[in-house]
Amino acid sequence: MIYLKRLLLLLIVFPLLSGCWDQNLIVDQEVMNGISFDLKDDKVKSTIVVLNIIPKGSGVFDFNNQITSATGHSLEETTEELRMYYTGPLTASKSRIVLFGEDFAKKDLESYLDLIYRVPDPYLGSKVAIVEGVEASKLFSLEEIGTDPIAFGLYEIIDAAEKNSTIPKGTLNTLFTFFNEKGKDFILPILKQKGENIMVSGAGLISENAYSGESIPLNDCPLLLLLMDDYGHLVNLNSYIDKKKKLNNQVSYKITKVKRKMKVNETPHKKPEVDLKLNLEVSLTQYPGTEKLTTKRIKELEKVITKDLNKRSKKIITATQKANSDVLGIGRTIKETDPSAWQSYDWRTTYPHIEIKTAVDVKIVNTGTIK
Amino acid sequence: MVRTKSEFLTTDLNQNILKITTGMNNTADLKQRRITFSNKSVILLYLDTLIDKESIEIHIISPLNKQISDSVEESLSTTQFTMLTTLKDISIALAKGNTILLEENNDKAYSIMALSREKRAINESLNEKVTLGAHDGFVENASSNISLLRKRLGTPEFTVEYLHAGSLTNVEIAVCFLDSTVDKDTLHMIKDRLERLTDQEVILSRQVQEALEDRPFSPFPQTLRTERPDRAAGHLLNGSVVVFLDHEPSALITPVSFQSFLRSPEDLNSRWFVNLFYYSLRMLAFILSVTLPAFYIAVNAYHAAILPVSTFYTLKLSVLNVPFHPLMEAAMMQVVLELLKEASVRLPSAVAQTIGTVGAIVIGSAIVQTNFISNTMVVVIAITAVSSFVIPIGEMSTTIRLMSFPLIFLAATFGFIGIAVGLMIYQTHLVKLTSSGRAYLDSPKILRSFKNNSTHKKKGLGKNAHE
Repeated sequence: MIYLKRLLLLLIVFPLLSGCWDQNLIVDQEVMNGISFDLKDDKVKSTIVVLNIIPKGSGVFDFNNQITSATGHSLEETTEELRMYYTGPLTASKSRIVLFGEDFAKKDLESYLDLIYRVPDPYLGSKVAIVEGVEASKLFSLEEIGTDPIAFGLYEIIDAAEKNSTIPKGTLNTLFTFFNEKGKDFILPILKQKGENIMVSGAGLISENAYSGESIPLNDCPLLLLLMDDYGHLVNLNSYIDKKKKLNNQVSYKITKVKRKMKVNETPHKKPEVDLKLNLEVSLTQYPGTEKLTTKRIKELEKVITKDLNKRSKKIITATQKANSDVLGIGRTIKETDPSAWQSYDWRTTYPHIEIKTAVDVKIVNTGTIK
Repeated sequence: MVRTKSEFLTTDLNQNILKITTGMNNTADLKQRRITFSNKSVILLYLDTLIDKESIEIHIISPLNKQISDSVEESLSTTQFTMLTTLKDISIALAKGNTILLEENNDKAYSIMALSREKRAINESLNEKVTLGAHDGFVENASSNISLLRKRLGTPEFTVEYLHAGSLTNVEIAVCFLDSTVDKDTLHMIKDRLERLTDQEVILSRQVQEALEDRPFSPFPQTLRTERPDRAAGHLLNGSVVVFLDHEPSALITPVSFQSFLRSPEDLNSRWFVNLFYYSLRMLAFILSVTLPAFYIAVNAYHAAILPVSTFYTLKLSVLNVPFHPLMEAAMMQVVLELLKEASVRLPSAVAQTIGTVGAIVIGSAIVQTNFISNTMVVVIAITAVSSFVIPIGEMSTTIRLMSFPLIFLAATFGFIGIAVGLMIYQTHLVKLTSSGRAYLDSPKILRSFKNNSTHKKKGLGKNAHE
């Protein structure tokens, strides 16, 4: 009984003393859905978009975006200002998208984004992208993409691009793992505004946690993801049948099976050599000819595609070496298999000069529903 | 009564009658009938309000009138009677509904059973309905109830012991057990506890229950009160003791484990996976009704970060214009629910339907439209209530519903940590709890219990003839 009395006393006293100070009701919360960072006159300009829901009775509702910006020398300084614009406690726990302006992305992201990882509030499932051409905050002023609010629309766009193997799956969380891993760089999607619409225009190569300025164009992205062994549900590629780039002259194919083998060979003169073998099984989705595809023709097509893909993969590898962005994770492979060799390299200066041999082999296993 | 405690009958008939009527405080419904038997005066005394007059006519008066033999005893040979000598016994027998026969020049009285047979027919229990299985239920009579059990357990092992409680109520308490399965120590303890009741005035089952329970202050019932004979018989086979209180239509089963409260006799009558499914469903219902409102409040007030973004906006939309704290909302809705439930129980069934309509439509939808309580909260409380109604034993159902209240307060003040601490306290209490000395959470061979035949077929046995 004494215990019971004490317990009751505690139950009464605790709420009175604490007053639920850390309470944070759903009604009060102002939830930012989109965040963007730009560099402006040596200051960070943070822009956030908060989605307000306006109920119109019996399940019908409307929404509007409240967009505010603040500038300061650090992210926290801008956040402090941003908090002042809103009617309730501001939270990033439901953020959908984090956008970087081109200039901001070229800074060391790890040190700038420290705030996001240090406090538990931000949602680490948010998608991350670089905005090219305009200031990142400009994208938010579009308000809507289709019927989706802007932040949700951007999330969906990037999500769709990941499914189509344009860019690898990535969130703030994967970004953090890359920050902490030497020997592998990553890719961020590049967004471009075209009129009233926004599109993913390519894959930006990141070198040493900063945007290198180099990017892989849209139609080469799936091949890059195949080389990285980090592709999505659907991998579609096109090749010109003969060298002429003319109307309706492309064969298109869907990758159905991938075998990738990367081998790092030690050489005596302190430079590793990489052999990257890619065996693809593809299924045709488009063929401009009207004749039936004979076995002989298929063999010819296989040769054309193989030649094209080999050429393009060489181009991609050259681009990554130019950007000094080790997206294939060669450094990591060396670190894992031969730690002492890894110690002896200065990887940032070594990577652009190593030899990477790619060999793509294509086999058409299927011609679709028609011959 | 106290005056006549040790007094014996005399041979003087008139004196005896006088003493008995004063002993009964000259109550107005004490009737006398004088008949002549073998040239002697015989007096029948009975309480008019208790006995069956027809039965007296057939079983007492007509045999006596036939004058088969000179002795009263032989004339009454077809009827059951006992001989009484003290005035105290006689008045108790009268009060119990017996007819007293006094003879001239005889210092012994005959007490003859002639109780009126006014009792409820054996019907299905309204509180524990089943679709599969027997439809008989206990009635307000201990001997009928025991006969229901005896019909199921036709064995000499089935033992009944009677106790009487209260000097004024003088009610019968029957203790039934199977001699081979019952644990002797437990039985001894139960009888010991019931004996303490004998000088109390017992009217309600709860009084017996309280005497039987190890911890009467616990919110959890430690004896199972059932109205179904098949449930009682099943527990008897498992070594429990069944206690009947006369004039109460229920059996008290002890020792009993927590999982028995989540089971309906219907489950045991079904295929194993049906049985398992419904048992799991009730387990889920138990967890939901205890934790769901608390969980919702904690999420709403503290941990909105764990919600997926779409769920978050759905929730936000529903609570946007509600002026109350979720705790207030939950408390209000729970009170409304209890009010509706209570009102429909107390009212005649025709009117109770109206309450159902008023509750569902008027309060349910209007309260949301006026923005007093959010849609989500209505859903949460409705799920909680329905979950608690799934529990087959009413006592446990109410307990579980009320157990959610402390958790609601803890959740509103401390969030998930409060819920965790609250559940820990519940858990500790349940683990420590015993029912007649057996652990309350004890459920041996729970998996095997889903299969009805506990004996496994041995190889070569029970195969059919073709093999």
